[in-house]
Amino acid sequence: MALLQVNAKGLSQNVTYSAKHVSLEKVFSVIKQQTGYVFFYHSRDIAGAGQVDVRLKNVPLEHALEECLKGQPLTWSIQGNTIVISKRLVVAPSSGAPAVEPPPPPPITVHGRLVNQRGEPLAGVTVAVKGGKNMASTNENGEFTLKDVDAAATLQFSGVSVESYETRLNGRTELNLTLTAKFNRLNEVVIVGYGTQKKVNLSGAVATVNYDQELQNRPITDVSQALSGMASGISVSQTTGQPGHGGAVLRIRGVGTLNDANPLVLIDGVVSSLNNINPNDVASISVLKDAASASIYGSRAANGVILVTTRRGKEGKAIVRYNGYAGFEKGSHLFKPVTDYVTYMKMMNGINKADNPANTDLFKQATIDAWQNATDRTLFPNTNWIDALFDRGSVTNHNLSISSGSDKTNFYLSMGYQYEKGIMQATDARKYSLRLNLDHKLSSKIKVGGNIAAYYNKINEPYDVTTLIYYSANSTPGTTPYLVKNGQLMYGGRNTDDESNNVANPLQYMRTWFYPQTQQYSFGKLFGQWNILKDLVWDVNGSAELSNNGYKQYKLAGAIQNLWNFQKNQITVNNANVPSVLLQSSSNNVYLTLYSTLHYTHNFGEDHHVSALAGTSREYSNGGNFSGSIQGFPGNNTWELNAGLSQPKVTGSSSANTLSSYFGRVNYDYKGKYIVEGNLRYDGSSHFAPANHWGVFPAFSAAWRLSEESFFKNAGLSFVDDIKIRGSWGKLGNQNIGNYQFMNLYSAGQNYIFGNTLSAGLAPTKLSNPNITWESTTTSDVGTDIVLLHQRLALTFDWYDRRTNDILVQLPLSSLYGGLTAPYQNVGIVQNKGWEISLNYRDKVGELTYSVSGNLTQNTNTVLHFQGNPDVIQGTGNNSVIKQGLPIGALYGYVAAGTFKNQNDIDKWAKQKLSGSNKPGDLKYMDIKQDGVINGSDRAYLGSVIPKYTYGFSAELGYKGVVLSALFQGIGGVKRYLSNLWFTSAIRPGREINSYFLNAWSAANPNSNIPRLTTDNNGDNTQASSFWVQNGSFLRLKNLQLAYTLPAKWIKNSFITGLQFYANATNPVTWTKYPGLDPETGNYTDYQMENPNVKIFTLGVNASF
Amino acid sequence: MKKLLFITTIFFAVTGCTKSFLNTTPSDQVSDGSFWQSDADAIAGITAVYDQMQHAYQIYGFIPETDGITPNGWIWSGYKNGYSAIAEGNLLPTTTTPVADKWTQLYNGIYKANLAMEKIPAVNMDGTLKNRLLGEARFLRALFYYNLADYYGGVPILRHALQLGAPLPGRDSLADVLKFVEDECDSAALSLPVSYGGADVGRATLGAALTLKCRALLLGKEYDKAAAAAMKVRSLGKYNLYSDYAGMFTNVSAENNSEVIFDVQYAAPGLGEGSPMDGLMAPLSSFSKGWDQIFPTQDLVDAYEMQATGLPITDPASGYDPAHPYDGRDPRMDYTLVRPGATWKGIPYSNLAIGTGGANYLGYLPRKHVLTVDGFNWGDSPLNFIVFRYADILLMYAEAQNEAVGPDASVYAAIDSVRSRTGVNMPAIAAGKSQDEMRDIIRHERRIEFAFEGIYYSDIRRWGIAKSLMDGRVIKNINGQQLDVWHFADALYHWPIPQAEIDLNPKLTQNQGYN
Repeated sequence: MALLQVNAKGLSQNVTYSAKHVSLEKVFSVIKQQTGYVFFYHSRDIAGAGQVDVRLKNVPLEHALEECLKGQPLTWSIQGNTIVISKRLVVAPSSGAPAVEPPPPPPITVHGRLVNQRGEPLAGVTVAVKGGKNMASTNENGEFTLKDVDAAATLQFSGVSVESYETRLNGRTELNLTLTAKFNRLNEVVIVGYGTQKKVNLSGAVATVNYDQELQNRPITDVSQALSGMASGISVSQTTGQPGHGGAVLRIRGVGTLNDANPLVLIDGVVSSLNNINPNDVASISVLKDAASASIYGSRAANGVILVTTRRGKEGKAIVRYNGYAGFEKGSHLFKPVTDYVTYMKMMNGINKADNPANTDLFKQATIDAWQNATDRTLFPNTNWIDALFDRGSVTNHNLSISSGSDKTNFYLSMGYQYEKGIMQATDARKYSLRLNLDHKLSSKIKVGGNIAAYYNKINEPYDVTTLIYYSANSTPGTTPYLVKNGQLMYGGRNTDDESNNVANPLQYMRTWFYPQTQQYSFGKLFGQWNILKDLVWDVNGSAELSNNGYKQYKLAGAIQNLWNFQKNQITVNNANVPSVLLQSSSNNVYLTLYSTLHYTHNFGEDHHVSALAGTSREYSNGGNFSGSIQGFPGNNTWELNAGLSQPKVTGSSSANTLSSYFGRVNYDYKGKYIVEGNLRYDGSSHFAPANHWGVFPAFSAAWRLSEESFFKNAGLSFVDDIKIRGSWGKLGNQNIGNYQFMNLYSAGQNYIFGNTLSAGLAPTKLSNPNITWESTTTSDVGTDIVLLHQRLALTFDWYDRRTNDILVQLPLSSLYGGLTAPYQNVGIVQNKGWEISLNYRDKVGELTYSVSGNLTQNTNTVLHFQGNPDVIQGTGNNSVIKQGLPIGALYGYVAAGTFKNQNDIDKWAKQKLSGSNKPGDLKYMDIKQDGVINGSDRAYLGSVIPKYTYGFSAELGYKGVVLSALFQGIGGVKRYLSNLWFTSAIRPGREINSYFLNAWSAANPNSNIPRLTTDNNGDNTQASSFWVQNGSFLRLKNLQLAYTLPAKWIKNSFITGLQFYANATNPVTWTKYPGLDPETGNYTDYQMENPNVKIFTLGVNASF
Repeated sequence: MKKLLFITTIFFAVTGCTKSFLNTTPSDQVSDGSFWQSDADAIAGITAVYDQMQHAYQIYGFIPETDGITPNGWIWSGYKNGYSAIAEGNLLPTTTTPVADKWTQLYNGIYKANLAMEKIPAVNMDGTLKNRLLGEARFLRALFYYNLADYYGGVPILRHALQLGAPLPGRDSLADVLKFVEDECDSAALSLPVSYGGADVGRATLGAALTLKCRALLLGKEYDKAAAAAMKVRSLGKYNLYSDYAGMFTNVSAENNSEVIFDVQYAAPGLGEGSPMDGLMAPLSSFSKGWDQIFPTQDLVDAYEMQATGLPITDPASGYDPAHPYDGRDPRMDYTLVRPGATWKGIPYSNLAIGTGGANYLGYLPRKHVLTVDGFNWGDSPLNFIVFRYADILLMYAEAQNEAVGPDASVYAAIDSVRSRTGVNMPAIAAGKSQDEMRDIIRHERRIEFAFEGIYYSDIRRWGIAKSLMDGRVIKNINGQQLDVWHFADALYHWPIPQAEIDLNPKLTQNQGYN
């Protein structure tokens, strides 16, 4: 009992409530609302209490309880966060007649520990002896002790977050139980713009990710990865497996603009990036998808808004948590070049001869024979350059957090370390991160607090990875990567004079040209909250975000750059005079935010609930960069600018932008049945000329909780817990274009030489348009949220129509304007229309718990209007188009109809002369216009790079501390364009041949529809055409995890309170037809190749103390 | 409720924003309102026009590349995207490099010149300087139009910078463009000096304007006026033939010599003002140096006469010895290219990486515009590129005079002076040539004198002989192996108007043969 008293004292909170003739239940519910404490009582115990009068003005909880139970036959105790109300023991007057019953068996003491299915301790669960008064509550470690219990008693367990459970003791003194989490969907609280709302009261479309439960233990290096497959309406593309570049590309409900289509991300209310937060610190994520929920962020919300909150300390005993894992990485898919040099040489000779019978053989028979007969594979190599560049990667992560708090001050402190070694050699990244979140109560009315977060990220990689992968095609199997002879490292060049002297050594590039990068980030936020009136709260938040990113690019000098012919033991490419070079760059950005809100909540009578919000915000961003270069270093260990010798050069620039905003929201509900909400934001942006600074962004929404209607309740549909129908409309903005776009500016640096000295020149490089203004996106959304089967099944469905007007487009400009960069003009209209559904079902069978979730989004993207004549052909290789009626970035080109099988085939076909005359084996294109000539007007739409379907599904099984979970993610109805050095029929001596093309058309293989390989200048086959368009759909097992939580009794006597081991596989299986590096890459043309996504296999431990 | 309103009012009063908060201005660029105030601004505005010549590959940045689509040269197969497609007869309106690029770069220069010419008159500055700067802009604009006329024929003449949304003009005729160039040169000549003091060397001179006028007249086949314009340059008495033909293209110390009438000025290293030509043309002997993009052909090598006799090697009386094919030839051969037996940067020919194995290379390397010294990065060569030189005036005079009057003594004298340059020392032209014979002699002399200077491609189209020279031409390397077959259609005398331009401006009509 002493312990409970201490607890009660420690948890004391104040209560303010005055009323006459109210029921005790009402009083309890008010206290519950104000303090968060849950009441536990039998209704029959308080049935006789009648109505009471209370006058409580800011009195401690204990006083409040005493006050309202005064004169009642009731008593109270606080156990954990439960207030137990029970009948006062009435001591019977002693009588002379002693009891005749036999003495009861001696009472026992029961110890126990309660955990959830994940093995996490359950605190605050009430443990009561059935039919008795004896009860206890579990502490933070889930432990309880009950003394003086009848050995035959039945114990009852209950609490807000668990399903009630009872068990007969049968003399047991040790109980370790796993309780099932209570399906509590109706009480879920959702983070919304500048506040929180209960999910059942939402009238907008908001997706939430239960980060803590769903994403623990996954080797996530960037929070954006965590959203993959987790919620409807969100498309996540992890574009690279490069260490330190883990951020995925997020698209919410399609692509609504031709400009920056990234959603707005706010971390603890401040605009930021998902890269700026340690995944272990995330408490919750909300995705605001429709206009009603997002419009409070007005001019930047058109692409959707992602709200992230971080963990904060809670009152109670300190919890120390460690989570660590380690594992390895493998490439998910890499190119397979022809690695047998004899095959390669024969192919090259064949291609060369097929191009022109008069051509002499590139490789002499003697050379081919030499390779055929050789045994020394150093001098006569069959090098696989992919193997030479790629290796196995690894990943290590440690995370430690401490969370604690008292009645006045709470804190959360965390430290993280992450190391990742990429599958490409010489690539790695390490990140150190830190966070402190602090809350302090100055008085009962004023709260202050702060968040401090920082990280340091160090990335090592060769210069530069995307080019290097692309460029790795610039060698042949006949080149030896390197050799160490007499302690001297030598890189290989061509080993035969027959080989092109153009042949490069990608490994040498990788090891002599370096690109280390550092990212320093610090964030500080202070806030204060003042309860001015009973219903009115004033919040002030100020934050500063500072980032400083730097990199160096340096290249070793001299003889190490030589390429050797190892057969002849002589230098074949002499680079001894190449100077060492260093480029160093540093960029810094400061982002200041000050925002303040007034929150008003009031209930008019019992049935009318009103909440209102008014706020202002100001944001200032200033970024600059400075870089310098110099060459000629004394050695290979002195990579600082002041060690360089010649040609020093510096550049630098900076720019700033500001945003000023006023916003408000009014929310009204009647009996929790009818909900209406209005939002308004008024934004001023420095991106536009003064006349166009300001934009208004309104939104309205309404919801009807059908299930709250009495006719519905009386209909006897007991399997229905909640049905809500909602609709919203609103207007959002986008201003994500560069700074100063409306201004007429003269760029410096257009210099010239007069009299052998430098003379400064200035001229405009772009045409300006002072009339540009906001892009505005109008979204209509109709949806429903349904909870069924005693909260086991939740279903959400939304239909939306999202239309962006006045899209800022740099319309192509006639060169008669001087070839200047085109100005932005508000011209485009793009529509995203679709529906999304998500389902979640969870239940248990005996001790087996399971859950199944799925989500599916269908989106149709259409350019409705594009003022541009003609269609804007764009993209590398002119392979995409912006055209009315087609999706944004639609793939565009000729429609390939196989290959010409013979000359007769060519003669019969429409005259196809795009870049040369045709030969058998060339691609033949459809004569769309049917005019007998194949030319530019025969190009057609070849597919969309925006997925039609995005889906994810997951399943989880739990049994006695073992949890198996799997998450699948996929996209459908999407095309990718694949044509690059590694994937082409245009062969050049000195380059790799992709084994995909082994089956290309040739005289010996005349039925192939893969165009003939050629070293000719025939560009017909590499024109943008459907041949190079690939199906980009895929289904990927994104994550598979097996976790085991040690039974509590095993660790009972240690300082450890919870211990879990887990094994995790990321991307272990992918189903796709895409032949490129990875179907998940978000870039359209794959021209520059990203380091492909990786499979990650880890083992980890999660412990709390 | 009153209290609530009061607090809300206070709230907005305290947290609201000031008007100036939203007005940000760049710190690294000058805005329209604050430029064109002083003479320094005017000079900087004109400097940017000059800069256009320097940086645009498609104007003069890499104009020797066009020799790669004449019998003089060949473009490496690995670089077959732009020019060599033209050589193979496949020039398309949709080609971006070089067709659309050249158009855009030239109009970019015109835009900058127009802007300067519009703004400078209002600048409060010294009148003489203002006048000169306007003359420079006028000359440069005319130079860009001349290039447009040369490659595309008639083009829209813009005398002002276009405003956003203004109607786009259609094409003016070739004659109108050439007339415009001629008039502009006359006008510029009034305000340009004959020469400049040290700090201004490189600016447009009177001689430059007159030379440009001569070129335009020759392109328009107005031979008498062309001869007169050339004569006017000669009569300035300022120019003569420089004694070191080889050094003129490879040696920084020879820059701005007495033969140079107008050139693109470069300086290096590390100023961002270097020329890419060295990098593009130097041998591929190391990865970060040359790109080896164009090669002299056997045909060009064979065109050099024997020095002793002045006869072509095909003439049995020339003294040519097939066993020692490079002996006794016009010295300009070795000044222009690297051949077997020669050295480059002291490296013997046999040690140069010129791709003997891959049969992708011709066996000769260019020497003009290629540095003979180390110490410069790729794309950062200090060598100026000569646009107009006095030898051109002499040969243009000879050509114009021969066409207008016939091969009079002044024609012989002009050609002979070029042939007898110190260090070249070729014998004089034998007397008694007919007008037609003289025409061929002049054409040959221009080819040899200006090989790899980006002039021959314009010349053969201007002379109407491109088709006969190029169509069906077989390219062989030094070993006689066939590398390529070329084609030339009539349409190719002019490049197509870029399709993207026609798409944006339907008033532009396409050149014949491209539809």
